[in-house]
Amino acid sequence: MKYISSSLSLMLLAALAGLAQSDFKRFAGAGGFNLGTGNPVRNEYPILLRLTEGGVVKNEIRLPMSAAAADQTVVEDGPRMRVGDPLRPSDARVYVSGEESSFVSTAFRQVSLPGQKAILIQQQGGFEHIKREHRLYAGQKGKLVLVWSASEGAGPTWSAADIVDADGDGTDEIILYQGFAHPSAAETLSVTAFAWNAAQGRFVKTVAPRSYSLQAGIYPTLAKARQARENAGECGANLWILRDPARGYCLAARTVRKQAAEEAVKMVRECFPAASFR
Amino acid sequence: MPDITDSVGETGTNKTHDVALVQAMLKTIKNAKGASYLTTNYDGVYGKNTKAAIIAFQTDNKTTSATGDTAGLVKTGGATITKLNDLLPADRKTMRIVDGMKTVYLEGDAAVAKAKADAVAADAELDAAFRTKISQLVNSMFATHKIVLSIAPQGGRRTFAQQAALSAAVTGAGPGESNHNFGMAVDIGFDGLKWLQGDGTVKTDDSWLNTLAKVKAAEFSKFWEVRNDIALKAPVSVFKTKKAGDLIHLQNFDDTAVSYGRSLATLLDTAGAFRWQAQAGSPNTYKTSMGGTKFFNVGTSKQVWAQNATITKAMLAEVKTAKEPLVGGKPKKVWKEADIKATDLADMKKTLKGEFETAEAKRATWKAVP
Repeated sequence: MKYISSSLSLMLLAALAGLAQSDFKRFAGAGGFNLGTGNPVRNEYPILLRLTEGGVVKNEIRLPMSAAAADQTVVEDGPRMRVGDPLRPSDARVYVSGEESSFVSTAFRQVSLPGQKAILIQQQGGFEHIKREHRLYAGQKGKLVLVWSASEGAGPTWSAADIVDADGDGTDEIILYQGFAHPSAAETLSVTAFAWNAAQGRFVKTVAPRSYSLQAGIYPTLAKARQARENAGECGANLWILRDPARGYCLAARTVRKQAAEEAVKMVRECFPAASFR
Repeated sequence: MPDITDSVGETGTNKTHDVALVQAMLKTIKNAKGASYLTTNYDGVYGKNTKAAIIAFQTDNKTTSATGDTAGLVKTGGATITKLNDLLPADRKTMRIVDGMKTVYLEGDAAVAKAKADAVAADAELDAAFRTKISQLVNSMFATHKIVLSIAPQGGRRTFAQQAALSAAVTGAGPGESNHNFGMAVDIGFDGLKWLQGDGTVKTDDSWLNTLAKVKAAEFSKFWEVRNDIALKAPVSVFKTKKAGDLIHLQNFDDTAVSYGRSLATLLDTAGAFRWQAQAGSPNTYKTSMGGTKFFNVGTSKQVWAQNATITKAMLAEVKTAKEPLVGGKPKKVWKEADIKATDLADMKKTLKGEFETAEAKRATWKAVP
């Protein structure tokens, strides 16, 4: 009887282990955070974030966008799935699946916080209209706690979240770039900074560090600025048409990373020789 | 006239939308000292501040009675809601709220709504059946909620050139890859919706409700749900795109199993002189025979449109060789890279763009294919 009972227990454990494996197909992870796809729901594979400690799964959450396939392909960060600073690729790997409307990319980067681990996840999806979601989770007492997030609204929106340690104190800040490519008016581009607030246990808005403005050209009308950017093709793809009340419309970009601005201005000078940054 | 669906106040039902509406009225109407009756922002939550505001208003305007509204209670059709309506400034008489929401807005203009609906119905650039449905949506939205909808800038039929000019940051669809290019989709948003901020001041929003999104994300989403309650159900019955699409976007068909790349390649293949195939990806790339027999990858639709197709002299040499008459079973001339001039490449890039232009001219024959 004891033998049968032990066999049953072993079978049950094996079944549970098998279930756990089929429930979560890991494709990336670091520092106790693991990303994987779960069992399909209505032909979509939920992308899951797991927090593990000592090999034990402590907590799991489902990310906003689901994948079209269980397996993800790894690609380098690039202009179409830009992670972090808007003007230069990060060293993050991007995990993609699907095509057109079902295309979803997921990238993660670790964030340094005092005494705890955190991970910033960016997802991008859509075809006709591309949308991005940013989620920053901290592992706190075996739980995944959402400590910061940003989504995009309606219309021709764009956003990017960068991780910087602006004051060099070992704790990262989040820089959120948000753009709106208005189809018939000047576009907008904002830079907002968020800093860790230990008392509140989350990131809160703070004074943004110095940002560098790359200026490629000034145009008297919106139409001329649009035409100049279109003529520049890929070379001008990162530029926004911003209203300059005194001078008209400026083809510009912003970053808080001086080196990124320096590198970007060199590239932009290929199509806008007078480009500068300040 | 602003009205409540149920009672608000002490022992009242206090539905969120009723509370928000009464609060917004009490925030707008001033007492004898020129101050709003409601001293805090309106938020749809009944509490002591709302109670105090109701009682103060009732006291000043003598709207309580043994058989009607009691102190602190606003009943439907009662003296208090009637007086609140009487005292609203002329430009706030059309305050309104959707059931279940907590953002008060001002009714739109009926003439504007009709003009917008008529404009959509007359827009020959949109698919005939689709524009009828969208016009119906505009009319139904106004009839139901007194909200005016209209097509956002560049939200109707887009030319291939307009599509090409869109930033890759905001759309993955190149020229010929968007259902906007074929009059099968619209970005239909809110036409100058005037909504009341917490302090009672009026904000006129843009098509996308960007201002509301920044301050009341949940309410922002609900306004789109309100539109979709009409748009996605019979009799309008249009569709959202498959996933991660924009809230503003509506289209004429379910694209669950549609490949826009293959749909464009099919159109190019039938409309133009060359054979075309699509290679699904992100972005899609295209292959064409360029009049020969073998297919060559020529890049994305955006690259082809910009006359930057990824063709090489070696490809053109192969194409030209394939077109040579056969002599003894072999091409009369075998072209080499060195035989191809830069102008030949430029001419072929121009011809490939011409294939897209021909496809656009014959866009009425476009079909969504899997």
